[in-house]
Amino acid sequence: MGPDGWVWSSFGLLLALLGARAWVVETGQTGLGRTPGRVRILTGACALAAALVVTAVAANGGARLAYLLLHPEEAVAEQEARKDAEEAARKAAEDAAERAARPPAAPAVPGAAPPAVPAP
Amino acid sequence: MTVLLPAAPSEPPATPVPTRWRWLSPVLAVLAVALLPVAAATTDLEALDGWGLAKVLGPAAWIALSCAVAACVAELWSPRPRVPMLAAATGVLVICSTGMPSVVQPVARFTTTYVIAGFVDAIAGDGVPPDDVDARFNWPAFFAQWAWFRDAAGATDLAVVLRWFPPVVVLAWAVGVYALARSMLGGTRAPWVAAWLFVGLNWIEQDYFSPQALGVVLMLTVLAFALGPLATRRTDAAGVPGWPPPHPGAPRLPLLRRWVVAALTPPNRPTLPPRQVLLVYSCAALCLLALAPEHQLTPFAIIGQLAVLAVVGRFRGRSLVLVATLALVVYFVVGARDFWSSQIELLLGSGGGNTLQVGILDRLTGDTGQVAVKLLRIAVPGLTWLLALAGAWVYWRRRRDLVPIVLAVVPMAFATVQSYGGELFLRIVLYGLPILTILGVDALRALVRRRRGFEKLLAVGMLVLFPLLVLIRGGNDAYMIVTPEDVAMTRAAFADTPPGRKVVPLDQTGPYAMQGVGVYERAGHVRGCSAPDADVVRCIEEDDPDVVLVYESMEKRGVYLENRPPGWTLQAIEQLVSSGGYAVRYRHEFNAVLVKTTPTVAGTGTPAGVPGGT
Repeated sequence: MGPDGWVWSSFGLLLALLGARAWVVETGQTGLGRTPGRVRILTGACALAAALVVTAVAANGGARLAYLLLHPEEAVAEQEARKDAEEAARKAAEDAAERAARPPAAPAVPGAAPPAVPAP
Repeated sequence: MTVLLPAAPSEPPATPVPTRWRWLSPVLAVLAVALLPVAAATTDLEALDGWGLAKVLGPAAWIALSCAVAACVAELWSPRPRVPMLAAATGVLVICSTGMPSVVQPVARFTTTYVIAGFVDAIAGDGVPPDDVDARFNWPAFFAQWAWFRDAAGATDLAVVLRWFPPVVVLAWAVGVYALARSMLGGTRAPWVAAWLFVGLNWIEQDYFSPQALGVVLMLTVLAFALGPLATRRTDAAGVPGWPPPHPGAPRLPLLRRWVVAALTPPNRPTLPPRQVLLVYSCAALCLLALAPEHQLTPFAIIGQLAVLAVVGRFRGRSLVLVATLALVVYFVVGARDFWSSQIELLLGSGGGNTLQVGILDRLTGDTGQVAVKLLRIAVPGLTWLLALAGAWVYWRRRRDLVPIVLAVVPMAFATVQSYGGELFLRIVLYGLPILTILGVDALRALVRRRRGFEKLLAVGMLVLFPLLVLIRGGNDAYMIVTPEDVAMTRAAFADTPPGRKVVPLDQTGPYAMQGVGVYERAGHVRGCSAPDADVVRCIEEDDPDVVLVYESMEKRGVYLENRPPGWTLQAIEQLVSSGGYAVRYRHEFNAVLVKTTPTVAGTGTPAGVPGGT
């Protein structure tokens, strides 16, 4: 299972625990002023699962996103640099494709004068 | 021993409803529906100008709308209003007002409708959204859902769905508003008036075939659950009065104490049986989970509103706020990673002044009709808010409760935390509108209770409001209309162009994006070409597309919205052709397909299936 799979699995676990807690709370008979033990256990499990989800999200991009949101100038500069690099790579690929598609140059005529060298 | 109890006094027999009340509303509703085909036949869509649809509608359309309004009012005034008849009259009202463009126009209008249809088309078949095409593909639930429907039905397009989607979805919204109003206002008549007022004030046109339209359905469902079956009040175990004080003389306790008591006191159980409560929880949770990949903004609106209700202890099931928040966070961080890792500037963009400029001030352009309609679009939300504030005052006097107006205010927080471009204000108005209209109805009801004669005035107001709605909603129809010829021409243009070529519209209007997403290259970002008065010929030459699509709606947009000279698209076509770069593949009046005069573009001549090609 990949990292994203762990995030989704932990979120699924949290949903299941919340569902179980809702079932116990709504179908159980409770007295005034006291929370039943099963509910307390499930509440703790839900809190742990929520913490697991938050940790998994933070480890799989959440922390990076938070950093980018807290440092907007750096985030924009980084993305612009990446876009420029992608644009340059795209242009280079297009040029390469164009060169490959161009017909080969005619062979040099024997005895022809060498190309003029520009004066320094 | 048998005890004989005195027989309970039988209820007096109900007074029979006079025949005229029994038949008036059905007759008016049937008359309204019967007039719709006449309305479609007598509407001259060729004559659309800056005033939009209202100017070209025939008398039959207006009579149909008046009959629909009269059907609603007649049933409401009846001594015993019948719920099925009120529901039917509401349906007719929606068809005759919101649905009027669907009735009189042969295919769906609105450029964005076709953009979304193009997204659905791209996902249909293999079910995989294309990469790096559009940021909206990071929230693909709506597109995937309709692609699945399309494939399952064996259909090749969604033309009928696109055309009738707005009235159907507005009807669904009206049901949600009715359910909310029943919880908030009570009574038998006021909830129906709230649904009608919502329909009448909903000029925002976010009900086209789009993720946000379905998102609002889900949002209203959750809100109706929270304020309906899950609604409760927090019993204050410490005897601490809430805030605001329930009566002027109530003692104020320290804020911290009130907060602590509020946080530690769970809301009461609702009156439903436990299993029904669990069923409602499940449905609400499913709606919230579905919202996360559906639309970017709607989850924020419902989370804000649920959070307000949870803080004040108005519904049972506070963990729904946790479910919605975590679903949003998990989906955004993991599911929409491509979006935030490549377009973070959209998240970081400042709202505030720029949004105000783009959303309101920049839109006040065009000829007299356009400016008048846009001023009406500003005035209607303003008046809605004034009415809602009056309703909030009435609600407060009656129930000592400020929560509803806070629910309407919550979506306004978007303006400070989101950068969503010019449509942000439309969304803010839309998300607040259900609660605003319900509060407005409370104000109107208080007025009528004070003086019965106002009922007639309100009926006349309804007769004015709905034609105004048709005017405002149809104000852009001169250039938002799409014709069957536009659709056929676009299909033929894509069919005759090899995949991978660049197909662009002359201007961003028309159904140019209805197919080919991810298969054909789209318009590039040429500097200065997003301005309304951009030199389109220069933009086309710099963008260097293989195929250029021209529609009559572009011509009308230029003339009525951007103050260009009549015939500007024809001039642009002539310039492109005379430059030698392009040749005309198809032309009929203002519609045209231009192809680059290089051997890389395959196919010339009139595309098959296009009517009237020359």
